[in-house]
Amino acid sequence: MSERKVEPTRTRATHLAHLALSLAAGACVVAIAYAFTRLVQAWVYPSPDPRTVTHVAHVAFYWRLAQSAWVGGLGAIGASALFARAPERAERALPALALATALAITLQGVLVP
Amino acid sequence: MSVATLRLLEHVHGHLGWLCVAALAHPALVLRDPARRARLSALLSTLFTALTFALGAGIYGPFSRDGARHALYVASQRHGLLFERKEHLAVGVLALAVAGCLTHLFAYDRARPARARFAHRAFACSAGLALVVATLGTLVAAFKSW
Repeated sequence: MSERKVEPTRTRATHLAHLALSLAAGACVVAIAYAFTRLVQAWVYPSPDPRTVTHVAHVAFYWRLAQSAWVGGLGAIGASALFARAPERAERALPALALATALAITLQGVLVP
Repeated sequence: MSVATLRLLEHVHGHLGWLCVAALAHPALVLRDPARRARLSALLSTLFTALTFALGAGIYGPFSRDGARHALYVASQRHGLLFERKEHLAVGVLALAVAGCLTHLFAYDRARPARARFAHRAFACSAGLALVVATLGTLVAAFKSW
C-alpha cells in the first residue's frame, strides 16, 4: 500500500499573511519604481522649462503614478513567488526594503525634482 | 472647476496633510514595541493618508493644466521645484503607509519579529516623509496659491 504524501498545512491566516506581505512589498516597489521612472524621464526625456509651458494636455505625474502602479503589481507577484520559495529570507529583507524605499524616493526628490 | 473651489480644496488638502503627519506619527511611535498592536491606528492613519493623497492628486491635474504651475514657476522657480519635490515624496508617504498597514493588520505574528520591524519602519519613514511634505506644501502655499 503506497503512502500518501502529506502537504504541509497552510491555514487561511497563512495565506492572508502571504498575500498581505506580497502586497506590502509591491507597495514599496511602487515608490521605488516611481523614483526610477522620474530619473529615467529626467535623463532620457527631459521636460521643457515649466516657465515656458502655460498649458499641458498630459500630466506627467499621473503617467508616472500609473506606470509605477503597474510595476508595483509585478513587484507584488515577484514578492509572492519569493515568499513561497524562501519565506524566512524574504521576511528578513523586509525591514531593509522599507528603508530602501524611503531612501530612493528621498534621493530622487532631492536630486531630480 | 472654479478657481474658488480649487483654492478651497487646496486649503483642505493642506490641513489634512498636517493631520496626516499627526495620524502617521501614532503608529510610528506605538509600533516601536514589536509586541504592541495598533490595528485601528494603522488602518485609520492609512485611510486618512490615502484620502489626502487622492485629494492632492485630484487638484494636481487642474494645477498643471490651467496655468497655475506655470505661474508658480514664473514667480519663483525655487518654489516650483519645492512643489515638485513635495509631490514625489507624497508617493513615498502613501506607499510606505500602505505597506505598514497591510503588514500590521494581516501579517502580524508575534513569532516573526521581522514583520513587526517592517511595519514600524514603514510607518516611521512614512511619518517622517509626511512631515517634510507638509512643510514644503505650507511653504509653497504661503508663497503662491491659485
